[in-house]
Amino acid sequence: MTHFKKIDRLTLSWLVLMGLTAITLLFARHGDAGGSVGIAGAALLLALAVAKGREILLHYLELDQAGPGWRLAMTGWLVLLCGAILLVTAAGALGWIGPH
Amino acid sequence: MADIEMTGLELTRSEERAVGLAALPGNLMMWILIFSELAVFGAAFIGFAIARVLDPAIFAAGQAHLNGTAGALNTMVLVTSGYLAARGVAAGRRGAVAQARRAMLMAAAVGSVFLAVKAMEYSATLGAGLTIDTDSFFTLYFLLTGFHALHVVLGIVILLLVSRSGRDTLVENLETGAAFWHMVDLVWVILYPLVYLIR
Repeated sequence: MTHFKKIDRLTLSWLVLMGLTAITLLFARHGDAGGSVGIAGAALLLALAVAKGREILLHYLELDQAGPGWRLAMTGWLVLLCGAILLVTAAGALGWIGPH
Repeated sequence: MADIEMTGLELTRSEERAVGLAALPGNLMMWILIFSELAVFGAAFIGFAIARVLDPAIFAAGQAHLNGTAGALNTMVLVTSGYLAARGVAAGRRGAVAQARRAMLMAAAVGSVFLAVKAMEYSATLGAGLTIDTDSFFTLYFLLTGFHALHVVLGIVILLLVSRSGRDTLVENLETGAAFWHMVDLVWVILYPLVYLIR
Protein backbone atom coordinates (compact mmCIF):
# COMPACT_ATOMS: atom_id res chain seq x y z
CA MET A 1 0.00 0.00 0.00
CA THR A 2 2.77 2.42 0.96
CA HIS A 3 4.64 1.19 -2.07
CA PHE A 4 1.65 1.98 -4.29
CA LYS A 5 1.53 5.55 -2.98
CA LYS A 6 5.10 6.06 -4.13
CA ILE A 7 4.13 5.69 -7.80
CA ASP A 8 4.46 9.12 -9.44
CA ARG A 9 2.12 10.39 -12.16
CA LEU A 10 4.59 9.63 -14.96
CA THR A 11 5.00 6.00 -13.86
CA LEU A 12 1.23 5.71 -13.56
CA SER A 13 0.96 6.92 -17.17
CA TRP A 14 3.42 4.27 -18.31
CA LEU A 15 1.44 1.56 -16.47
CA VAL A 16 -1.82 2.82 -17.99
CA LEU A 17 -0.24 2.80 -21.48
CA MET A 18 1.04 -0.75 -20.99
CA GLY A 19 -2.35 -1.90 -19.67
CA LEU A 20 -4.32 -0.32 -22.52
CA THR A 21 -1.91 -1.87 -25.04
CA ALA A 22 -2.39 -5.28 -23.41
CA ILE A 23 -6.14 -4.96 -24.12
CA THR A 24 -5.39 -4.50 -27.84
CA LEU A 25 -3.63 -7.89 -27.80
CA LEU A 26 -7.08 -9.50 -27.62
CA PHE A 27 -7.86 -7.88 -30.96
CA ALA A 28 -4.52 -8.94 -32.39
CA ARG A 29 -5.54 -12.60 -31.84
CA HIS A 30 -9.01 -11.99 -33.12
CA GLY A 31 -7.52 -10.31 -36.16
CA ASP A 32 -5.36 -13.31 -36.95
CA ALA A 33 -8.53 -15.40 -37.10
CA GLY A 34 -9.59 -13.16 -39.96
CA GLY A 35 -12.89 -11.61 -38.82
CA SER A 36 -13.98 -7.98 -39.02
CA VAL A 37 -13.93 -6.07 -35.74
CA GLY A 38 -17.18 -4.29 -36.70
CA ILE A 39 -18.14 -0.71 -35.89
CA ALA A 40 -18.20 -1.33 -32.13
CA GLY A 41 -14.75 -2.98 -32.27
CA ALA A 42 -13.37 -0.07 -34.29
CA ALA A 43 -14.92 2.40 -31.82
CA LEU A 44 -13.34 0.55 -28.88
CA LEU A 45 -9.90 0.39 -30.55
CA LEU A 46 -10.03 4.10 -31.42
CA ALA A 47 -11.21 4.96 -27.89
CA LEU A 48 -8.18 3.04 -26.58
CA ALA A 49 -5.99 5.04 -28.99
CA VAL A 50 -7.48 8.31 -27.70
CA ALA A 51 -6.90 7.20 -24.09
CA LYS A 52 -3.28 6.28 -24.88
CA GLY A 53 -2.70 9.47 -26.88
CA ARG A 54 -4.13 11.55 -24.04
CA GLU A 55 -1.70 10.01 -21.53
CA ILE A 56 1.19 10.78 -23.90
CA LEU A 57 0.01 14.36 -24.53
CA LEU A 58 -0.70 15.26 -20.91
CA HIS A 59 2.04 13.43 -19.04
CA TYR A 60 4.85 12.58 -21.50
CA LEU A 61 4.59 15.87 -23.45
CA GLU A 62 3.58 17.63 -20.22
CA LEU A 63 0.62 19.51 -21.65
CA ASP A 64 -0.94 19.13 -18.19
CA GLN A 65 1.37 22.03 -17.27
CA ALA A 66 0.94 24.02 -20.49
CA GLY A 67 -2.48 25.61 -19.89
CA PRO A 68 -6.00 24.77 -21.11
CA GLY A 69 -5.52 26.17 -24.63
CA TRP A 70 -2.78 23.73 -25.59
CA ARG A 71 -4.53 20.83 -23.87
CA LEU A 72 -7.72 21.54 -25.81
CA ALA A 73 -5.93 22.04 -29.14
CA MET A 74 -3.83 18.88 -28.92
CA THR A 75 -6.41 16.52 -27.40
CA GLY A 76 -8.87 18.08 -29.87
CA TRP A 77 -6.60 17.01 -32.77
CA LEU A 78 -6.46 13.51 -31.29
CA VAL A 79 -10.22 13.16 -30.78
CA LEU A 80 -11.11 14.70 -34.16
CA LEU A 81 -8.65 12.47 -36.03
CA CYS A 82 -9.84 9.25 -34.35
CA GLY A 83 -13.44 10.43 -34.73
CA ALA A 84 -12.90 10.98 -38.46
CA ILE A 85 -11.33 7.53 -38.84
CA LEU A 86 -14.31 5.98 -37.02
CA LEU A 87 -16.78 7.94 -39.17
CA VAL A 88 -15.14 6.78 -42.41
CA THR A 89 -14.90 3.17 -41.14
CA ALA A 90 -18.55 3.17 -40.01
CA ALA A 91 -19.70 4.71 -43.31
CA GLY A 92 -17.95 1.86 -45.11
CA ALA A 93 -19.40 -0.83 -42.82
CA LEU A 94 -22.90 0.60 -43.28
CA GLY A 95 -22.47 0.70 -47.06
CA TRP A 96 -22.78 4.51 -47.32
CA ILE A 97 -19.48 4.59 -49.15
CA GLY A 98 -17.77 1.66 -50.79
CA PRO A 99 -16.26 0.18 -53.92
CA HIS A 100 -17.80 1.31 -57.18
CA MET B 1 18.15 24.81 1.69
CA ALA B 2 17.74 22.33 -1.10
CA ASP B 3 13.98 22.67 -0.78
CA ILE B 4 14.15 26.43 -1.19
CA GLU B 5 16.28 26.02 -4.30
CA MET B 6 13.90 23.47 -5.79
CA THR B 7 10.93 25.76 -5.14
CA GLY B 8 12.75 28.61 -6.84
CA LEU B 9 13.40 26.48 -9.93
CA GLU B 10 9.81 25.32 -10.05
CA LEU B 11 8.53 28.88 -9.91
CA THR B 12 10.85 30.02 -12.69
CA ARG B 13 9.76 27.11 -14.85
CA SER B 14 6.04 27.65 -14.36
CA GLU B 15 6.43 31.40 -14.93
CA GLU B 16 8.25 30.71 -18.20
CA ARG B 17 5.61 28.23 -19.26
CA ALA B 18 2.66 30.38 -18.24
CA VAL B 19 1.50 31.70 -21.61
CA GLY B 20 1.41 30.95 -25.32
CA LEU B 21 4.19 29.14 -27.10
CA ALA B 22 6.50 29.49 -24.08
CA ALA B 23 4.14 27.15 -22.20
CA LEU B 24 5.46 24.17 -24.21
CA PRO B 25 8.54 22.23 -23.03
CA GLY B 26 11.73 22.42 -25.12
CA ASN B 27 12.55 24.47 -28.19
CA LEU B 28 9.75 26.20 -30.11
CA MET B 29 11.12 25.04 -33.49
CA MET B 30 10.63 21.43 -32.41
CA TRP B 31 6.97 22.15 -31.68
CA ILE B 32 6.51 23.70 -35.11
CA LEU B 33 7.91 20.45 -36.54
CA ILE B 34 5.62 18.42 -34.25
CA PHE B 35 2.52 20.34 -35.41
CA SER B 36 3.41 19.81 -39.07
CA GLU B 37 4.15 16.10 -38.50
CA LEU B 38 0.82 15.62 -36.74
CA ALA B 39 -0.96 17.38 -39.62
CA VAL B 40 0.76 15.19 -42.24
CA PHE B 41 0.24 11.90 -40.36
CA GLY B 42 -3.37 12.90 -39.61
CA ALA B 43 -4.10 13.47 -43.32
CA ALA B 44 -2.36 10.20 -44.24
CA PHE B 45 -4.36 8.25 -41.64
CA ILE B 46 -7.68 9.59 -42.93
CA GLY B 47 -6.49 8.78 -46.45
CA PHE B 48 -5.75 5.20 -45.37
CA ALA B 49 -9.21 4.84 -43.77
CA ILE B 50 -10.88 6.11 -46.97
CA ALA B 51 -8.76 3.82 -49.19
CA ARG B 52 -9.79 0.82 -47.02
CA VAL B 53 -13.48 1.62 -47.36
CA LEU B 54 -13.09 1.89 -51.15
CA ASP B 55 -11.34 -1.50 -51.41
CA PRO B 56 -12.31 -3.58 -48.34
CA ALA B 57 -11.46 -7.01 -49.83
CA ILE B 58 -7.87 -6.08 -50.78
CA PHE B 59 -7.31 -4.43 -47.39
CA ALA B 60 -8.75 -7.38 -45.41
CA ALA B 61 -6.54 -9.81 -47.34
CA GLY B 62 -3.48 -7.61 -46.77
CA GLN B 63 -4.18 -7.03 -43.08
CA ALA B 64 -4.47 -10.80 -42.54
CA HIS B 65 -0.72 -10.99 -43.30
CA LEU B 66 0.20 -8.46 -40.57
CA ASN B 67 1.36 -9.53 -37.15
CA GLY B 68 -0.88 -7.68 -34.68
CA THR B 69 1.03 -9.11 -31.73
CA ALA B 70 4.28 -7.62 -33.04
CA GLY B 71 2.46 -4.30 -33.38
CA ALA B 72 1.31 -4.45 -29.74
CA LEU B 73 4.82 -5.42 -28.65
CA ASN B 74 6.18 -2.40 -30.52
CA THR B 75 3.59 -0.14 -28.83
CA MET B 76 4.89 -1.37 -25.46
CA VAL B 77 8.47 -0.79 -26.62
CA LEU B 78 7.73 2.80 -27.66
CA VAL B 79 5.74 3.80 -24.56
CA THR B 80 8.48 2.29 -22.36
CA SER B 81 11.16 4.18 -24.27
CA GLY B 82 9.07 7.36 -24.02
CA TYR B 83 8.75 6.82 -20.27
CA LEU B 84 12.55 6.52 -19.96
CA ALA B 85 13.02 9.73 -21.99
CA ALA B 86 10.52 11.56 -19.75
CA ARG B 87 12.40 10.26 -16.68
CA GLY B 88 15.60 11.58 -18.26
CA VAL B 89 14.06 15.06 -18.63
CA ALA B 90 12.92 14.97 -14.99
CA ALA B 91 16.42 13.88 -13.88
CA GLY B 92 17.98 16.71 -15.92
CA ARG B 93 15.73 19.26 -14.21
CA ARG B 94 16.75 17.90 -10.81
CA GLY B 95 20.37 18.45 -11.79
CA ALA B 96 21.10 14.71 -11.90
CA VAL B 97 23.09 15.04 -15.12
CA ALA B 98 24.60 11.55 -15.27
CA GLN B 99 21.24 9.97 -14.52
CA ALA B 100 19.58 12.11 -17.22
CA ARG B 101 22.14 11.11 -19.85
CA ARG B 102 21.83 7.44 -18.87
CA ALA B 103 18.02 7.56 -19.13
CA MET B 104 18.25 9.04 -22.66
CA LEU B 105 20.70 6.33 -23.76
CA MET B 106 18.38 3.68 -22.34
CA ALA B 107 15.43 5.29 -24.14
CA ALA B 108 17.41 5.14 -27.40
CA ALA B 109 18.39 1.50 -26.77
CA VAL B 110 14.80 0.45 -26.07
CA GLY B 111 13.70 2.47 -29.13
CA SER B 112 16.05 0.43 -31.30
CA VAL B 113 14.09 -2.72 -30.31
CA PHE B 114 11.16 -1.16 -32.23
CA LEU B 115 13.30 -1.15 -35.38
CA ALA B 116 14.40 -4.76 -34.83
CA VAL B 117 10.76 -5.90 -34.52
CA LYS B 118 9.83 -3.81 -37.58
CA ALA B 119 12.69 -5.38 -39.55
CA MET B 120 11.38 -8.86 -38.65
CA GLU B 121 7.89 -7.83 -39.78
CA TYR B 122 9.19 -6.43 -43.06
CA SER B 123 11.30 -9.50 -43.75
CA ALA B 124 8.26 -11.76 -43.14
CA THR B 125 6.10 -9.63 -45.44
CA LEU B 126 8.71 -9.30 -48.16
CA GLY B 127 9.61 -12.99 -47.74
CA ALA B 128 5.99 -13.85 -48.54
CA GLY B 129 6.41 -11.92 -51.80
CA LEU B 130 4.36 -8.96 -50.60
CA THR B 131 6.01 -5.68 -51.60
CA ILE B 132 5.12 -2.00 -51.95
CA ASP B 133 3.97 -2.83 -55.50
CA THR B 134 1.67 -5.73 -54.55
CA ASP B 135 -1.58 -3.76 -54.15
CA SER B 136 -3.00 -0.53 -52.72
CA PHE B 137 -2.98 -1.94 -49.17
CA PHE B 138 0.71 -2.87 -49.22
CA THR B 139 1.65 0.42 -50.90
CA LEU B 140 0.02 2.36 -48.05
CA TYR B 141 1.26 -0.11 -45.41
CA PHE B 142 4.90 0.26 -46.44
CA LEU B 143 4.61 4.03 -46.95
CA LEU B 144 2.93 4.72 -43.57
CA THR B 145 4.96 2.30 -41.44
CA GLY B 146 8.17 3.11 -43.33
CA PHE B 147 7.67 6.87 -42.91
CA HIS B 148 6.98 6.31 -39.21
CA ALA B 149 10.01 3.99 -38.82
CA LEU B 150 12.23 6.71 -40.36
CA HIS B 151 10.97 9.01 -37.60
CA VAL B 152 11.96 6.35 -35.06
CA VAL B 153 15.47 6.28 -36.57
CA LEU B 154 15.67 10.08 -36.44
CA GLY B 155 14.27 10.09 -32.90
CA ILE B 156 16.96 7.66 -31.72
CA VAL B 157 19.65 9.87 -33.30
CA ILE B 158 18.15 12.94 -31.59
CA LEU B 159 18.04 11.16 -28.20
CA LEU B 160 21.72 10.19 -28.59
CA LEU B 161 22.64 13.76 -29.57
CA VAL B 162 20.78 15.49 -26.71
CA SER B 163 22.23 13.03 -24.19
CA ARG B 164 25.63 14.52 -25.05
CA SER B 165 24.57 18.16 -24.46
CA GLY B 166 26.67 20.33 -22.18
CA ARG B 167 25.34 21.25 -18.76
CA ASP B 168 24.19 24.75 -19.84
CA THR B 169 21.86 23.54 -22.55
CA LEU B 170 21.11 20.07 -21.21
CA VAL B 171 17.59 20.59 -19.84
CA GLU B 172 16.23 22.44 -22.88
CA ASN B 173 17.83 19.96 -25.27
CA LEU B 174 16.50 16.98 -23.31
CA GLU B 175 13.01 18.53 -23.37
CA THR B 176 13.30 19.20 -27.11
CA GLY B 177 14.54 15.70 -27.97
CA ALA B 178 11.97 14.03 -25.72
CA ALA B 179 9.16 16.10 -27.27
CA PHE B 180 10.05 14.74 -30.74
CA TRP B 181 10.24 11.21 -29.33
CA HIS B 182 6.82 11.50 -27.65
CA MET B 183 5.35 12.73 -30.97
CA VAL B 184 6.67 9.55 -32.67
CA ASP B 185 5.00 7.59 -29.86
CA LEU B 186 1.71 9.47 -30.24
CA VAL B 187 1.59 8.84 -34.00
CA TRP B 188 2.20 5.11 -33.46
CA VAL B 189 -0.65 4.64 -30.95
CA ILE B 190 -3.05 5.72 -33.75
CA LEU B 191 -1.20 4.02 -36.62
CA TYR B 192 -1.18 0.64 -34.85
CA PRO B 193 -4.95 0.11 -34.46
CA LEU B 194 -5.67 1.82 -37.78
CA VAL B 195 -3.36 -0.34 -39.91
CA TYR B 196 -3.13 -3.59 -37.91
CA LEU B 197 -6.38 -4.08 -36.02
CA ILE B 198 -9.37 -2.29 -37.54
CA ARG B 199 -10.75 -4.20 -40.47
